[in-house]
Amino acid sequence: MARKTIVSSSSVMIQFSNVKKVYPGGNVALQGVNLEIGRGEFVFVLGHSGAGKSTFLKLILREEVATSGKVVVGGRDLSKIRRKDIPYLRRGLGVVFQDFRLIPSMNAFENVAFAMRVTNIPEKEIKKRVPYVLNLVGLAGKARSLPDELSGGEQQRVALARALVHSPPIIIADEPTGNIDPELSVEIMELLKAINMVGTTVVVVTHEHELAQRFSERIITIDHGNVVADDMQIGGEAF
Amino acid sequence: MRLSSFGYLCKQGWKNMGANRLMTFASIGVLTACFIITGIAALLVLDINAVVDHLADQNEIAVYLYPEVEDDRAEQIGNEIRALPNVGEVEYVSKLDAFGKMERMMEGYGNLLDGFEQIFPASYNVTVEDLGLIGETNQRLEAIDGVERTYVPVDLAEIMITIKNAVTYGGWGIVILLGLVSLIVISNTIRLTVFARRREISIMKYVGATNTFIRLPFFVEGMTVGIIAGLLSSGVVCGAYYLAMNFLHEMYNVWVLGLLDSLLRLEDIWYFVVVGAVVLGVIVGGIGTASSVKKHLKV
Repeated sequence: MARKTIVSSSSVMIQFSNVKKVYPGGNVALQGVNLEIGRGEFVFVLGHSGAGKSTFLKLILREEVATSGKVVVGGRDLSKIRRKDIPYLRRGLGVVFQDFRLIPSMNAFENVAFAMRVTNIPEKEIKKRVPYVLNLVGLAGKARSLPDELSGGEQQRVALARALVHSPPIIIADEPTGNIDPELSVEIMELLKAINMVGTTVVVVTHEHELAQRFSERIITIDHGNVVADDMQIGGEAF
Repeated sequence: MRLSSFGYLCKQGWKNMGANRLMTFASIGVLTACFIITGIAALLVLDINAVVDHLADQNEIAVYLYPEVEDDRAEQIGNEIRALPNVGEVEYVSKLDAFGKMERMMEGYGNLLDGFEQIFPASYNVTVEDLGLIGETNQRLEAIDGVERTYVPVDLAEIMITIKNAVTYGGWGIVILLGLVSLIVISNTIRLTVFARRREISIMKYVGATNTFIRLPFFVEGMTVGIIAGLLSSGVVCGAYYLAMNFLHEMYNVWVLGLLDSLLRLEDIWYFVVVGAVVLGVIVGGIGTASSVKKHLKV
């Protein structure tokens, strides 16, 4: 399998310039990371536990601030962004978590609608958009089901629908297949691939090396807070 | 914020109350109890102050003039007294009035007073505006030319001032203390709700909710608990006040009946009690909520 180091595309969606993150207490999570992720890329960020993957995600979501260096997401320098503008940054990022993070008391429709309601979208628009997105992830018939009544794969699809509902230019998935069966993992990855095909930048953070090799065109490997490899894989698994 | 979003957030706040109904019920109960004691303490302070003021109004300085002071001079003295600071009402009692008063007191033995019509000195009965300054006012009255002596019930005045101060400071102290207790109660209720919903809050943050959006349901919850407690407590306080007034009326005690006129009347104050309790509920709910939600918004 041929690999090459990636050269960033002209339209950069995520940019890390010499980013260092040291937590209080002296724990160095990232040290001098440089990378660029372009519009429409499908990127896997690989690394074992404690490698710095979570910090990488937290910096993109502006949950943490870099100790030094510059993080730019969607053209915005996150070190300069005001606290009150963080919600607006996050509306442009669809996030999927390993543990789904669905609200147990809300059904699938409500969980997806919730993401629209918190951003002040009119009810009329919600009623139109949510069924459409649920249909996209193959859950049209499960709109009234509570998370407890859904399988792990279905719950992750609801989470994916929630991430997609704003049509964000970037989707961030943190170990999206960590809590589901291998067959269902493939389904989720195929869905992410389909989302990527329509131009959305997809960043999947995982420790599952095989899955990354099967689906990704680009794999960034982080180890001990450093980017140790940034490879382009020619022809990931076709969707 | 859209009206529909505002409506949605209010519904979320009320839904939270239903979801944590036991905690909500307990908070309303404790808060109502605090508000009842606060309300009763406040009314007691106001009523006792009113009674003390009423008694203070009866607290007159008697200013006796020399017997040889003629009517013209007596009238001048009256004007000088009225011009003094802290002087309220001034009533002139002429030599004949004083004689008449004595005659009435010695009814049946009136002939004993024959020939003494001019023996009683003319005087002025002077009420003071501020009981605390009665000593000062008395000194000024004594300094007026033609004034022989004054009679001032300083001891009674001091007792009145002591009672008034004790009731005022003690009563308002209780009100403030219970206000703080109410704040802690509501703050803990919201803290528990926020803790129970911390996961939901973190999801809200990740999907781009603003802090205002996240806070609003908690404010709705806190304020609703405060308003319900305010309405319940004001009802209880007004009911208790009505019963207390009825009880006092039915005592048929002349002294008590004399004081009843100076007390606050329920028909004049119920509106203020209700509005005051509800406003207190809103304030306590709002401040209690604000102090509880902040911590969990740092995602």
